[in-house]
This record gives sequence, C-alpha cells and structure tokens, in this order.
Amino acid sequence: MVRSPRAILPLLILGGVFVLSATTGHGRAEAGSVTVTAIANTTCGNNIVNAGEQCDGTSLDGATCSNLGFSGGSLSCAANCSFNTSACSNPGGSGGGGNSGGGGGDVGIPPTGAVFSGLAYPKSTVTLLKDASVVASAKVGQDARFQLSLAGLSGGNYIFSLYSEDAAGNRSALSTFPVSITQGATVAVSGVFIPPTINADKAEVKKGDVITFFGQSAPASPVTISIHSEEEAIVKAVTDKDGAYSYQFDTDELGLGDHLAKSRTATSGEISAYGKAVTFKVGTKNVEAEKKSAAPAASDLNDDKRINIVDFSILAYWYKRSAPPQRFDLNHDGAVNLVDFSIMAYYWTG
Amino acid sequence: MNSFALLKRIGFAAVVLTGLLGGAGFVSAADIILEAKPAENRVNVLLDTQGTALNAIQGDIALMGSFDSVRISTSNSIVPLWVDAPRAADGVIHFSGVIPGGFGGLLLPDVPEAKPGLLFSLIIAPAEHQRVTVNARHVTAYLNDGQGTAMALPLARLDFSAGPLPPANALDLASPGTFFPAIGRDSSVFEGRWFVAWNALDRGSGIGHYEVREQRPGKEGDWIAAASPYILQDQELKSVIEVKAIDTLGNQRIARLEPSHALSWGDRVSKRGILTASLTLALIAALVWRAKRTRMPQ
Repeated sequence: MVRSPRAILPLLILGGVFVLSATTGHGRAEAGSVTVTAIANTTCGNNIVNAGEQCDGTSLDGATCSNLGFSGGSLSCAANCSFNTSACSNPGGSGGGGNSGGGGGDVGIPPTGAVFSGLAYPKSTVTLLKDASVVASAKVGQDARFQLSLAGLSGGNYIFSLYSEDAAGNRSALSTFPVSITQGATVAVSGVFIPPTINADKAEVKKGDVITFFGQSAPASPVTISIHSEEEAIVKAVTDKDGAYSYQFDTDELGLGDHLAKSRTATSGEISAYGKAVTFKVGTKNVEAEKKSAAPAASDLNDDKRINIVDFSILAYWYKRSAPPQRFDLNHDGAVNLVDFSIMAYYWTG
Repeated sequence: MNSFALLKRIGFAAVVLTGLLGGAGFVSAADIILEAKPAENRVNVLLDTQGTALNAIQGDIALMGSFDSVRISTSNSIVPLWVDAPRAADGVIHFSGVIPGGFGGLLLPDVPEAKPGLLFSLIIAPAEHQRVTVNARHVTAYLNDGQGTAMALPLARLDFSAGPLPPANALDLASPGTFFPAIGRDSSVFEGRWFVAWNALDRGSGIGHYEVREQRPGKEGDWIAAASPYILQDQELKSVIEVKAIDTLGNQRIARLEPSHALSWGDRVSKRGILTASLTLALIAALVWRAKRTRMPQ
C-alpha cells in the first residue's frame, strides 16, 4: 500500500531520530541516512486509515484482494487495523499462498507493524521482503519517493529487505533492515535509499578505449562511480529527470586484467550505500556486454528468474552430498556447502 | 597532472581515509556472545557483527557438565532459514543458517546503535547444584559479498548455573507469522517430482510442526505431518495445497495455494458420482422401457 510520505511526517516527530546502518553488499553494514523510530498507535478504530494501519473498520484504503496480489476473494479489516486476507484466494505456481490465522488471540491488540519510506528510481517498483519472502510492493512516482506499510505483525525480531528494479530490468542490491518490533507498536524505517544500479556497455574493453557505465538512481542527483583497480578511481555523474546516468571512462590508465565498478548516490542530505558491482576486463579487444538478466543465472537453480525458497530447497537437497551437479556448486570448489548458501543469500529476491 | 592521475590521488586518499574510519575494505571482527539468563534457565546465543554484514553462519555449541535436559528455541531468531537447525547430539549443538540480504546488527526504535542479534536460545536444566560450561567453537560466518568470503569467529565460553526449570511460559496467543509456500521442481532432486517449500516463523513459543493437505473436488485430503520441502502427491498440480504451521502451544496459521492447472470435467466428477449417475440413467431407461411395454397392445 502506498501512502503520501507527508502522512507519516508528523508521526516521525514522536520519536527521536537516529542514523543507523543498513546492510547491503560488499560484506559491510554501510552507514546511510536510515532512521528507525517508534510510532504511537492511537488511531485504530476511528474508521480512518492512518500511518501504520493497513485499514480501519470499513475503510480499506482502496485495497482489494486483487491489488494485494491475490487472484480474488473478499478482503476485510481485522480489529488490529491490518488486512484480513483469509477470504482472499491465490493462483498456484511459484507465487505465495493466502494466509489465515487460527487459534490466535490478535483481536483487541493494538496494531503491530512497520512503515518504510525513502528513495528508489522514478516509476520503478519497490519490493519488500519479510524474513526472506516477498510481502508487499509499491509503485514509485516520478520523484522516486516510496512508502510501504506492513501491519498484522507480532512483536519480535524481523529481517526486512527492500529492492527495486531499474528501467532496464536490473535489480538493485538488497537493502536489509533487521528490526526489533514491540507488540502493539509500529516502527518507521525512514530515509531508505535504494542503491543505484550500474551496468557497462562492454564485457571486455581494449586498453585505451572508452567503456561506458550506466544505470539508474533518484532523479537529478550526483552519482559517485568507484572503479577498482590497483588504485581506486572515483568519477562523478549526474542523473537526469528519469534517474538515468552514464559516464564514459577512459581505460588508458587501467592495467590489463579484471576490474569492477560500483556506484552510490547522494541527494539533499540522503546518501545511498554502494550498489551491486559490475565486472569488466581490460584486454586487447572490445567485447560487447550481454544483456543482464534480472536474477543471476548461477543462483537461480530452477531458472524461474527468482531466487527464493525453491532454490534454497534444491541447494539444501545437495548440501554435503557427494558429486553434486556442477551448476549447484556456485563457487566451484567441488562441494555444496555453506559458501554456496552465502552466495545465494546475496542474490536473494524472495 | 592529467585528470585521471588526479582522480587516482583523490581515490587513494579516499581509500586511506575510509580505511582509517573503518570504511570499505576494512573487515571488522565479529563475535559470538553467550548471554546468561539464570532466572529463565536460558542461555542466549547472540551474534555481534560489529558492523560487518554477514549472511551465513555455522558452528558448534558444546555443553560440559551435568545437566538434566536442554531444549533449543529458535523463536525470535535473526536467522530465517536454517540449513542445519540447531539440534543437540552428545552434548554438542551444531547449527548452520542463512540470512538473505545479510545481518549487520539489530535496529531498535530510537536507539542510536545496532545491537547483537539472537541466533537461538538454550533452556538448560542443570543437575542439582551443578554448573554447566557452554562453549561456542568452530564458528564461521560468511560475508554478504556475493563470494561467500569466510570469517572465523573467536571462541566464547560461559559458566552457567541455574535452579530447576520454571513452569513453561504459556502466554503466546499469536498465530505463527504469515508465510508463503511455493512449488517447484528440478530434474536433479526428488526424481524431478513437484514439491512445495515454505518457511514459517513464530515469534512466541516457536514453530512446533507443520501439516500439509492436498484437496480437489471429490477427493478430500487428510492433514499429513510434513517438513519443507514436501513432495506433492498430486503431480498434476490440480489440487488445492494447504500448509498449516502450528506453534508449540497449538496456535496455527494456514497458507493456501490454488491449483496451478484447471480440473477437467472428468477430474471434477468422482467415481462414486459417475456410478450413481450411471445407475440412475439405467433405472430411468428400465422404467421407460417397462412403461412402453405395458402400453403396447397385446
């Protein structure tokens, strides 16, 4: 469900604001401008959908089973101002199923939830994962700002992740937020900045020729591109109104061999972490880069363009077994072990 | 100095600066913390990443000393996917699990710094007046870097003593969290048969067990105790698949997958229905034939 970022602004004032770290790639929890604050839940039951609520009484905020991803059925609102999807139905396949609770005692408890807001790419879709499964998505406007709400949670520790996909179909790195939520409270995770995507026009570039890096981020924002060689080179580009950027890099000073480039964006006080890196080779000829698929083929074991519990189950089947198929041995060390799971976890899409 | 050389110098300075500040390229140590909660007979096994993003971890927890029982709880763990769920065997608990997207510290509302995250808890009942020594050893974590870079964690040790086990906490009234089963298959596993896989978490008493039911019109299925992945009985994928997660106190949540393929006319009608319809038709035909025979002039 998407709401105006303005709706949550007064509520953020309820809690102190702290800058915390979010997990992205490269093995480091990188500092960003993310803040985690508690929102007081005092409005559930007033038939108006406030921040932190998915619905309220008879008001479903325009939501239906269909636009929540189900194929049909009847949506209602539970007493804790979260959607009751028990009467929604879902088609089969690799998608998720409908859920219905039973034996629980949720009625009468104030809503427990989380609200995420920040910047992605203009006109993209932001996807939210809870504990490694896709639970919500939101369309992003031209200004690249998004807001996603999740209600109906229990108190406890959660691993939330967000990613987006650029206009060319390249997925961003996962931005992960392990958050502790108290029963009856809603937490606002604001200042999320989805890292930019980056791609290169060549897989191999002839030394001295130009290689073009391009990708997408927030509109009209400076992008820092870091090119790793024996020494790191840092160059700057600026995104256009659609968030697209490109930079033509002269490889004259790069040594022969493999290199990688990654990018990050900063805009009006908000700074993203570095996104996924693109690798390229400086050699003796120019080789055009292949179009990237949304999910890296290596970790997508059943080739359905998603890396999720199905791929995890296939890898788990071969875990510590002798003579695994070569395509499941992601690091090519002759065995399926936790290293392969770590590689899969990095590329996870839910 | 050309522009690239200048950029190189700027870049070098940036690397030095970020290195000094603990930035890119600097890998912090991570630790296992063994936290004693004697009043609850509980030892929490915590992961302190110290700012390093980790997405997989494995290791052993060894218990030495005399104890009556040990129970393991993964409730409220930061690990959503276990490869080897922690299980005690001969006083050693081996575990390995995965955190998609990585874990760099637990964020608490209005708290300025990230905190260690819970891997799992041990509920130990030491023998009377006895002390149990808990050792974390052979713990290896993997960086969230797409390459599975390994990082050995230092040993941790805790001397633990507690009284008899307190009565079980029966305050968990909440259902397990929402979860989303998915079906899949691959020629290399389960002889290429379709399976359903899922992962449910319960923040209260913890998941007790799962059950699966496959149903289609005319074929009522039974709930069957199951674990993920579960090989489907209906390989035509024409059945509704339901997965029930039940926590240790009996609270439950059901996730439902509609059939991937539509039922044909023949699938919809049960054998009993076909038999009944056939017998009815035969009876009507017999009655009509008899009626015609009686009306015929002698």
